[in-house]
Amino acid sequence: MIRGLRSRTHGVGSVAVSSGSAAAVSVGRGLRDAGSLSANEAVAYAHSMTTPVSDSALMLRYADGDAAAFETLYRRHNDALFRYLLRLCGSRAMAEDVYQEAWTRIIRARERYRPTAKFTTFLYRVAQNCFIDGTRRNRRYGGGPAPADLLCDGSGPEEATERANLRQRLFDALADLPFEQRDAFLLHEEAGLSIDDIAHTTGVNRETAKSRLRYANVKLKKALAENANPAAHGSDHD
Amino acid sequence: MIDGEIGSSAEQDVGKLYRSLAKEKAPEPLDQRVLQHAKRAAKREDTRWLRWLRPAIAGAVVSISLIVVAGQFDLWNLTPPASGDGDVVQDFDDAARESSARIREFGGAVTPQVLNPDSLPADTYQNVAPSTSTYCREAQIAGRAAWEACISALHTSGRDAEANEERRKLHAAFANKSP
Repeated sequence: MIRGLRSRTHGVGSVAVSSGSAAAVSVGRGLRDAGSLSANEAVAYAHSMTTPVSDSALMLRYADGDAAAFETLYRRHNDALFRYLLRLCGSRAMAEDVYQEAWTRIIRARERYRPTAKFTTFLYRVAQNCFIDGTRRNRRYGGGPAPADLLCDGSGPEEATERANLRQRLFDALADLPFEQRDAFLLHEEAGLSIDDIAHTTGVNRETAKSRLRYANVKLKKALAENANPAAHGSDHD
Repeated sequence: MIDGEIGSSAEQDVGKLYRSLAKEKAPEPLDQRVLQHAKRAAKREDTRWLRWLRPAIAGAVVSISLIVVAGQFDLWNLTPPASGDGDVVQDFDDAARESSARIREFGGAVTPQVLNPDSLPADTYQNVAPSTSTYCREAQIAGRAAWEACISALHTSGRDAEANEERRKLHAAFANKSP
């Protein structure tokens, strides 16, 4: 769950679980000591401030018309989803289109949304479907990843060249994976989904999802090892 | 470090490496577009009922138009026909009223035995042949038209047998006779 919360910014109402809990407890204790809150109230206050509202609850609030709830939900998942689609699509232009389409469908589906599964599972399934539709509809995207675009993350020119090379190799190896393995890997790393959730999202059984994820990791490690020497180009396709 | 071993620790290494290298963020303009869309959609939530307004208005217009057109062409058959059975019924009613009025005029005491045959109109049955009318005894005194009206009244009241008997008598009485 924490791995899934990769947002670097905090929207209205969102709480950073790891850094805010101590502060909230401290504030609650202070209010109790000052007589503003009873002991039970202070505990309840600290609890409410450290327990983030679930994604499903936010989505249901948005369905009732609370736009601020949607913003909180969006800020939690926007960056991770964008990176997921960026790696999946291999093209920034397509990734942005698919990304916008995915959120548009989420917004439209708010009235029909039922928290029968994790919101993240729902979100990434919608994103997958948008990616598939985008691939069928727009052949113009085509081609492979544009390394410059994919590496554009706002980091300064002072970033170590070796790190940049490592990133390039990793992303190239990721792009070389079969779609299902790449998808499983990204769902695990970006969305923070468990193997069961990956299986549910992709519509396969647990063993298949586990197998895909394992092979993805093996191939990535192999590719990184083979490409560690810049002179040794080429990837090993299984 | 990277030795190709399959295992959870190896997977975690790759995952950890990926997470440390993948730093891209969603473009802010894209964020704003999505959030604006979400806000507009949430606002439309309040006026959701308006979605049904246009179809409801269209349905009402079509329904009213159909009712008006149907009324114009009398598709519901609400008004009685101008001719045919309606006229006949009206004629029977008029004749029955006329017959009743003329019968009352002559009073219950008027009988063929009492009446002076010489004072009767030329077209009465008494001038033609001895009276054998059973049900329209008084009506025949007023004339053929009244007798016909009486027969019609009998038909109207469902006494077809009596009406047919009276008609036979009338035809017999006025055979070869002009009214």
